[in-house]
Amino acid sequence: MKSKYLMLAFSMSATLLCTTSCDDNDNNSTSKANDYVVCLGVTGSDNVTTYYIVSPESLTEGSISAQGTGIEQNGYHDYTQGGSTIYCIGGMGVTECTGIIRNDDNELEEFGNFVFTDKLSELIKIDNSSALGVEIPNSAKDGSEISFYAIDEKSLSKTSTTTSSIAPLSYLDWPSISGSAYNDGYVYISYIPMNSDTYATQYTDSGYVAVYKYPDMTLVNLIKDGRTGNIGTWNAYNGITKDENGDLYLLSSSSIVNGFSQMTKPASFTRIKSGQTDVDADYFFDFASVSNGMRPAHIIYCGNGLAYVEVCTLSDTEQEANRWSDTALKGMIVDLYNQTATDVDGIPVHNGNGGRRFPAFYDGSFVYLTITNSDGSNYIYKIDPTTATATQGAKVEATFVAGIFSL
Amino acid sequence: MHAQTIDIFMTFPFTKSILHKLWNILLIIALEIGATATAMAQHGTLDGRVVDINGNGIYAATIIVEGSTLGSVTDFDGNFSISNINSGNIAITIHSIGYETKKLTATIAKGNKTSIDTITLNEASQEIDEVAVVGKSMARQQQEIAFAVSVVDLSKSYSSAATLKKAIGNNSSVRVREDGGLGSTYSFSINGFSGNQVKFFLDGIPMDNFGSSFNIGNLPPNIAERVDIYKGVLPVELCSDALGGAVNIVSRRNANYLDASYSIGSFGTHKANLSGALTTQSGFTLRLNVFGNRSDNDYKVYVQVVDLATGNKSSEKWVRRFADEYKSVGTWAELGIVNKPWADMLLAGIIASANDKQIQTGATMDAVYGGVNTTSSTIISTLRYKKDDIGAEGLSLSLFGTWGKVSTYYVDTLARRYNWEGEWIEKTSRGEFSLADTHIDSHEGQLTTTLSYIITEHQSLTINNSLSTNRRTSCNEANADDPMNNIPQRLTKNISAVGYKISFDRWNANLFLKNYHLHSSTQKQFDIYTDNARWERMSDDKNNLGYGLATTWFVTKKLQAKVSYENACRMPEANELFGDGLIQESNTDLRPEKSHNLNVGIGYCGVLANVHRLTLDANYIFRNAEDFIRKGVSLSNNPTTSYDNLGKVQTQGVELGAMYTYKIVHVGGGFTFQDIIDNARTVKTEGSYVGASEITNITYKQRLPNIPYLFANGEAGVKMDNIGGHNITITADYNFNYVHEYYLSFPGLGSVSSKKVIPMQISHDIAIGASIANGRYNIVAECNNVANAKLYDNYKLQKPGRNFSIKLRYYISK
Repeated sequence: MKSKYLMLAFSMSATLLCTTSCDDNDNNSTSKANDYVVCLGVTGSDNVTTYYIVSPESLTEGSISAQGTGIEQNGYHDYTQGGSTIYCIGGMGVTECTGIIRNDDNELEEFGNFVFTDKLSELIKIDNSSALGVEIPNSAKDGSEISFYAIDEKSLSKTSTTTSSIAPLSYLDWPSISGSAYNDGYVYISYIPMNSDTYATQYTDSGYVAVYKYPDMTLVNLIKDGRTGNIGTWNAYNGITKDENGDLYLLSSSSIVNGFSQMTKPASFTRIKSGQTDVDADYFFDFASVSNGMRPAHIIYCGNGLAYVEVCTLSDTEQEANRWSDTALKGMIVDLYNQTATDVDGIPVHNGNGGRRFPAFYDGSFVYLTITNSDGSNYIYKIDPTTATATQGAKVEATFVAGIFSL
Repeated sequence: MHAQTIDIFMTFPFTKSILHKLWNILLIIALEIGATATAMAQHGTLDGRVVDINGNGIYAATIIVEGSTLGSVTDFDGNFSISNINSGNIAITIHSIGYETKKLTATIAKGNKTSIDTITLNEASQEIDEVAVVGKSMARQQQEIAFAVSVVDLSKSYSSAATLKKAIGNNSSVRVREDGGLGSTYSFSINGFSGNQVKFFLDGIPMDNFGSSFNIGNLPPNIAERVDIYKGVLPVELCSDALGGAVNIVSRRNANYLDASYSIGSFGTHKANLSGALTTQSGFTLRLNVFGNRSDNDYKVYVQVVDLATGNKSSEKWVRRFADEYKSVGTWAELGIVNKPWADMLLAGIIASANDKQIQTGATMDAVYGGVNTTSSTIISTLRYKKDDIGAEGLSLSLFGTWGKVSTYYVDTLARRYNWEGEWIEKTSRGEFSLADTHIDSHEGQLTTTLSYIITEHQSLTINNSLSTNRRTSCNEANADDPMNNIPQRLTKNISAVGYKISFDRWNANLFLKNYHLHSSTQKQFDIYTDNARWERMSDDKNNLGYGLATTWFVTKKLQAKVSYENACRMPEANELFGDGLIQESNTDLRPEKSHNLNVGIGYCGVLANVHRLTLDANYIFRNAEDFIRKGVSLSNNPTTSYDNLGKVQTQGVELGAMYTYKIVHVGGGFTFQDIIDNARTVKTEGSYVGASEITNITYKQRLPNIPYLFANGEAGVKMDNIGGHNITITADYNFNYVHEYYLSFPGLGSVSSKKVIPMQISHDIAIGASIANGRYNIVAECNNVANAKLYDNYKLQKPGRNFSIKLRYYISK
């Protein structure tokens, strides 16, 4: 039994939202090639994973390796960027947060010594100087309150803690956070009602988003939208994507391959307009019908309504035999404004990264994503969202890539 | 919900029924004694003791009554007893390897016990014995078997305050990896193998299921005569699926003795022990071991302290551990008869023990807990039977059976976050690490049967069968809805071995074949939340064949060469095969972990001018292990990852040892280098995490991290007898331990400045002791880690700094 909790403890321990930080990356579109930072995960045959933060010359040529170089980090980690700092969250037994900056000598440098109170369920970027940590107990037996703590990103320290009852969210089953965003004084958290012992999802007929007023964190609305299935997939934090106007796009896939135990609705996108606390009744993007029944698994926003989305190519029947497998993915460019989807040319059908983090990087022009080829080697692919084409780039000497950034 | 801690003395499961059984056994034995006494009236008994020129008892000397088939072998203190001798004058021959043979006469009185004067044997001159040229202790003789074995002679540790674990840890080639002070979690690492790849035995019976309160972390050295550490190749007598080696604790054999000791040490540490044996002339015997330990373990550690309000860490400072108390009590008592026509030994016994332990840290010093606690209790009944020449001359049978229950309770329910100052704040989730209020009950039964037959003077055959069953249930009361609560998992292992030994004066060889059979079962829930939801029993059988060879050759009288090889395996456990029955998937295709283990060694043992004694050992080890059973890569979104056969490791190593004794002084040491290499070209991943299921292994051919690979130990001592003309012996001993710096991660990756290392560690221990009246009264004062060095283990967990202890001991033997 304990192993299950261990698994949960660590998987819930350090998860981050990539979507919000993408906005900041827009500012870095002029970054030089040698500004790239890649977080390499190396799992030895002893089954222990160690991370190396390296600064490669190029993402498109040569190979990226930690041989004799890179900042070593032990224990499971996740990475996100805020301004000119990469935040490394994880550790062994506790959830630590250290920052990585580029110093005056243009070398990567680790700083800070911050420890979260508990397993971090979600970290939501508020602005370039602060973030909001969210902690939800693993199950009803573990606790009944959700806690929010404000984090000052410059000093890497906790400035305040707010708690509130989790009860409205746990009405059907235990809420599993599947995405989040901050916009214009509100914090939006999408969740999946999920049995905390069996991971069964019995309530997939509606999408659920909790809306909190920031910074006092009072619950202002609990969105239930019967047009869609649940928002986001389990532990993948892909439920909410914010565009440059502050509009929030909600992804609903209910994909068994990404952790649901049943699929009762086709895939779709819905929207919360900037400043609103409820869904936009006028917007419903029937993704299933434009994509020939595909279910999205991962998303990265690229601006102008375009997003790079990975979808599962398995039929619903095939998915049932492959729960959790995040397998057989292909890339699509999805236009959230015009409600279209186009296959990306040049990326082989591949398996996903499990969805916990989607370590794709958008530099303002291109999306960079690591894919494992059929021979077991990893390559970074460079994807052009405007033409929906991809080319194979640098080889990666690592078991997996946990993050790509520009610093 | 249970109380946080349970008084172990209150919950000690010494049930009425067991006392009742014990009483019945006593009654039967008493009747038996009476009957035998009558039958023996026409004969007499001869008692005596065989010693060397220094007055030390010689172990395993044979005493033969000429013109009869009667005889005996001396015990550890040199004592022997021969019964059923026809009254009148007899001649006896006393023989022991390394000593001159002696003949004596004695007169046996009818119905009485005759004691003869202590027999002193002179050391054999080098020409006499072809093979063994020097007087050898039992430990040395054991060292000379064909198997690669390190023998820890515990008689040297009886006056020391150290636990059995520490006494073994001073041995080279074995690392005891431990998390902290007294009672802390430990594992044995032999040539890079550790955890359940190394098995523990007590007099040849596997201790796998004996629980945490009866193990070498608690046991005093006084319980055992010696400990044999087998490296990679196990004799058939140790029947278990040990992939990388085994540790066999050999209990004391003295017929009559009493050994009582008490020690007090730093950090509130107290240890008490009573060991003894009583054997009457009629063959009734009682063997008793009782021990108790406690410690606050409040030693200082050098750590960063988290400010709980801001989450920021301070710079490193010294703080005391504050929630690391440990208590344990235990007993092992055996009652029975020895030296009967139908049984050389028949003993019924009971092992009863309990412990209570606070858990101060998680896997690293960053995770600090204040209310995590575990208790465990063990109650096991034992039965042993041994008879030589059963049915036919040269045919021996021995049986060792155990049956009992181990209960473990683990609690972690506080909704608190602690820091190293002992301060805490409330948090929203219960459980400092992971919410648990868990009872685990394990019922275990084992029977080891050994049949050996001496075919000819040079050949013998041994058949061993070890059957063990285990039924385990667990219930987490913090999660009453957990459907796996109280669902039993069963595991039955049957390991059969046959060994053939051929031996001549200069060489001997052991060939063996082992068959491992495993049957395991559990219940698993299918199609949950559907109309077809059901529980089904799952079971699985696995079989594996292993084989090996151990041979030794005395190149010259003093120089011995050894080669041993085993194709070893470890069978999967029930949870590895079936997962947790709920989320974690089963993988009944799991293969056993396998390893080819090869040892090549050379040893020298010589005495010069009767005063210089030198032993040297050099060993080369090679291990090629694959199919390690590990949980699949579980970084992904997939919580259902099953166990899989992952990883290949190749080890090559060199071990060197030396010991020199000159009159009252001895000095020695050991050195180990082991190059443990990741030998997997690819890493297999469970479906979801990355694209292909087999991807290139980045760390192929690199040294495995977090395992010490270069270490050494040294010792020096002096023993002065008859100080000031009185019967006082003074001893002074020094121990030295060195562990070379090693990385926490694979060495080639990352910049050198950011690599996390466990720094080089050097520790010094000293002990000064005095004994009076032939060792009857002993006092030893010890100082461990004299230089107060920072010592670390697994993931930089800190071990105690400088600490002191004093042990008082009373010892008599007859």
